[in-house]
Amino acid sequence: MFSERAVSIALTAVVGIVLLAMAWGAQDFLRYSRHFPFTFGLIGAVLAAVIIFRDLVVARPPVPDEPVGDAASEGGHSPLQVFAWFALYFGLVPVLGFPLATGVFTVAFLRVVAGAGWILAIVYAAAAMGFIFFMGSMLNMEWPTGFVSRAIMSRMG
Amino acid sequence: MRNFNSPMGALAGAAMVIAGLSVAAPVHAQDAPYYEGKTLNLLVPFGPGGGTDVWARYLAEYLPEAIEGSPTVLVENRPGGGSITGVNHFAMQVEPDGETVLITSGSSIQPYLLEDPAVRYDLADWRPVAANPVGAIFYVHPSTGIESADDLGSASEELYYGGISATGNDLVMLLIFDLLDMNVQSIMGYDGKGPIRVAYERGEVNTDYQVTPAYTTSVEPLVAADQAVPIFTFGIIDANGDVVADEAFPDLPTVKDVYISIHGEEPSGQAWEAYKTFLAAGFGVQKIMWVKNDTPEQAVAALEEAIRQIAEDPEAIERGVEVLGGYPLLYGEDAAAAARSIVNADPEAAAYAMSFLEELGLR
Amino acid sequence: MLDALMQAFAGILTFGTLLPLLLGVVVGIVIGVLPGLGGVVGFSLLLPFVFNLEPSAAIAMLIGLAAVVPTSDTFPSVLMGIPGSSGSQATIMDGYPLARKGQGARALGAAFTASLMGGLIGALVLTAAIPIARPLILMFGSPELLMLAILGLTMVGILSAGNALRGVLAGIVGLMIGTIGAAPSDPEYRFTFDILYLYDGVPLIVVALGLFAIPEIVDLLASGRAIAPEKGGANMGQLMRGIREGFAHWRLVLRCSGIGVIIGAIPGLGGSVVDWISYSQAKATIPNNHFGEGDIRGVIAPESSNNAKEGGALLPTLLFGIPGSGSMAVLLGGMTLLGIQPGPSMVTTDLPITLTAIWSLAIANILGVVICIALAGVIARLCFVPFPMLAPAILLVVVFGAYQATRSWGDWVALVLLGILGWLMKRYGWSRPAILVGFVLAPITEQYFFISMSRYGLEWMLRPGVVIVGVLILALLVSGFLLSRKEKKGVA
Repeated sequence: MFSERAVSIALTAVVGIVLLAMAWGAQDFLRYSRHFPFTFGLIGAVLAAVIIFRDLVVARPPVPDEPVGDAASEGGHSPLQVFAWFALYFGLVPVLGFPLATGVFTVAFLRVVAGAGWILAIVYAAAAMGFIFFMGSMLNMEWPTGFVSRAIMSRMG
Repeated sequence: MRNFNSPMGALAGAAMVIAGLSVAAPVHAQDAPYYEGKTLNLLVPFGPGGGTDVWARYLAEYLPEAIEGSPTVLVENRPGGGSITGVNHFAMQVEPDGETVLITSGSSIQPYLLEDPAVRYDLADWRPVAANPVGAIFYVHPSTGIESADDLGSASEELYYGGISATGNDLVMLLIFDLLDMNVQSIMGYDGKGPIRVAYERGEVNTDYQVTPAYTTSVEPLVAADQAVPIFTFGIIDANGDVVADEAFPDLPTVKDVYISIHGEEPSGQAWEAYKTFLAAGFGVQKIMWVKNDTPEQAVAALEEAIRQIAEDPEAIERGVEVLGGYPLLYGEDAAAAARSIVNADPEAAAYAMSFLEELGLR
Repeated sequence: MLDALMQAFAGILTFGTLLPLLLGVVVGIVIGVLPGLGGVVGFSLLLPFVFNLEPSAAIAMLIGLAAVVPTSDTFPSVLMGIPGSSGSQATIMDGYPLARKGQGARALGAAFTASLMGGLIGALVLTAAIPIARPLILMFGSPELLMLAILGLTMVGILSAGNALRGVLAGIVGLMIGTIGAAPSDPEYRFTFDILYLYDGVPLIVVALGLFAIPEIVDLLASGRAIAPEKGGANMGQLMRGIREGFAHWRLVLRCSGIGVIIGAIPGLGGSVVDWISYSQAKATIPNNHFGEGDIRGVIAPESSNNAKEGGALLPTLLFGIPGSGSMAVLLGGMTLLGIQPGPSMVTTDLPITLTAIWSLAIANILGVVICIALAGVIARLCFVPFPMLAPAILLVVVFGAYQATRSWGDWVALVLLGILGWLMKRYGWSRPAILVGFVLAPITEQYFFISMSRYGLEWMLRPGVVIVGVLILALLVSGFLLSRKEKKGVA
């Protein structure tokens, strides 16, 4: 894989390019609206270039802004795996609807990652879904229903 | 169960939800009231706490009793996109069953008139069941030397006006400045009418308008302390679409009166049509409750009857002084007439407004 | 005045008023504990009751809610590194490192003590300032507000000391995210790509949850352990230690409460930078600090100011009808429903309402802190549970909180994208607070800049208020620079 340093520089570069693109796009805005994004986008892009230059030439490792020392791999899960779980969750929502997706995700996650028993996982998931229904009814909210839930609902009339 | 209206009621409601009990809808006989056992949703395209939300919540308080069949009434907030999100949602996702009605303010109408590409609704597809007009008063600081509408052209210092957004309600004010040949420097970008009034009080701007309720509580004390002089009202749109005197301020001239005294003739032409259209959108029917055209007649009749009851209920009127701004709640033909000037807006009037904004460099 | 104050006190001690107040406090505590749900959500829960209560009881309930949200939102900020609401983001900076050392209860104890004193100071200042507040608030024109926004922006420099270039770049990223949506001075939508969700800009709470909550959940899950791997001593003992520390640093509490009240009272700045400003100024002025590594003073500073802020924010809300913070905007809506129009009458004919508001604020702060301290011992234990067990619940609350912002898919897309950005930035040493500060202050800075320029030309720079704030900015920057240099020398 890539070195941490390479990824760090790439991140700065992407940020710089996005800011430059925003400054570029800002030129089309109306009288007052263009100055602010144009100016700061440009300054940001220049700053990103300076940082990349410094990282390349001086080769000083970036300093973390908070002292979180845990190495990501220690616990056996890589951050990518965690993001995959998130993707699963959000992927389930349009299929099952928000409440049901939460329940299924919770059971799966607790069984696979946390090593919980079936009973605990199911009670936990029921509580999670209860939270959604309770808050939803108090705030009169609707959420994405998902086509499976819609099918069940229409079957039930 | 009514709209949770006591702490205990809410707790009971919450308990029911927790326990998963739901009240089964009763089977309808043919002649049962349309809303019996149903839930009426008031869709508000703004977050909680704003003027439109408060207007909806005021109605939500009286509707359960006023509608035959006593439905549960809930307010559903769907903010976003400067209210366009919620209104689009109503247009595209809501069934015309009368169980969800839409509450709008001028913020939803102006983008429609100005053909904002994000707008996915056509007001002609809907009909108003309730509407609420509000008046507005233009006032200046005494330091401007302006004592009445006759002095508008001879201010003794530069005039500054503070606004929120040129495509919102401030468009009406900008059109007035144009109609009355007033030379005013407009500064847009303030957070709201409250902050603008504060800017007025500290001298950052020296002209301003406020709607009637805010004028009564916050500007009248300034008038009494010689810190403000009321000059004219925006006028009220009557059932024929004409601008007439504001009953709340019978002694003040309307924009129309001032126009006549300056130009020596009745106002006409595209500029005036644009003024009337946007006056209606922002003030004349500042708040509207809409249903879709193909909503069952039974439902519309039940809603209109309910609004009539609320509009005539002395207790509701008394409690609604702040919410309604001191103007009557319109229903039935009155509401339809009031909304007509925006639903049937002359496309040329809107086109004039757009080119007017373009000339100002605002489009 | 004193007489009326006592009368209002007697009025509030009735069952009909205390019960709604308590309801407001309980809802406020729950809402504060749940990340992403802030005062606005709480108000929409309570607004249905407002209509059927006496005005004074309804005001008590609404104020009760507003008063305790900044107390209880400390729980997720300290224990999980997730902002409980937009008002307690800065508490994360030192509260969370303390929790990871197993000293969560200590941080909570200090935070609640600071909250209590801050809240009471807020109520006290409110009482004293009511008669003279109108002219004071009127002193702040757009140029002065612009300078205060710039003062807030200079905090970016202080917050990212040690990695200044990247910090400033992060601040600019925040500014640019803040320009998305409707522009303040023109009818123009910027960087919306015709996506309706972006018209109003990305909601603050989605930005905060994306930048802080998602990266924390990812890293904790990757580590597979509890938030606090080791216990830092008995919970109750720690709680008491924290409470003592809160009192011991009373000077800091006093200073930060003052900052909170003033910034809350100045309409137009918004309540969500108060905690950052007081955190940064503490960092820039306290010698030998270990801010960012679990310094208890880094918890006390923001926590005292965010409770005091609500007292300050009531001033413009009641006197001018302009809200000083997000939850105050909804309080205004509630007042309209009650038929109370804020304005000059709040100190004359409607004075009893104002006094009820003050008492409610004070009593709610006390009730809120008592309840929170009672809960602290138990809730702090969550830190010692293996995180994979907690993760689904926390993720759900974060996802729900984000969705509550505008109730659209866009909230989730923004949450995930900002989560990835936040995670990368955390990993590669970018200052995420700088992004937040830039994001919050971008629209304000731009708005007041163009208002100042189009009203006064360049002359706005010569106004006395502008000069005073300018000197303050310089002093803070110099002080922060000197302190960080001294520290570096000390280390070397």
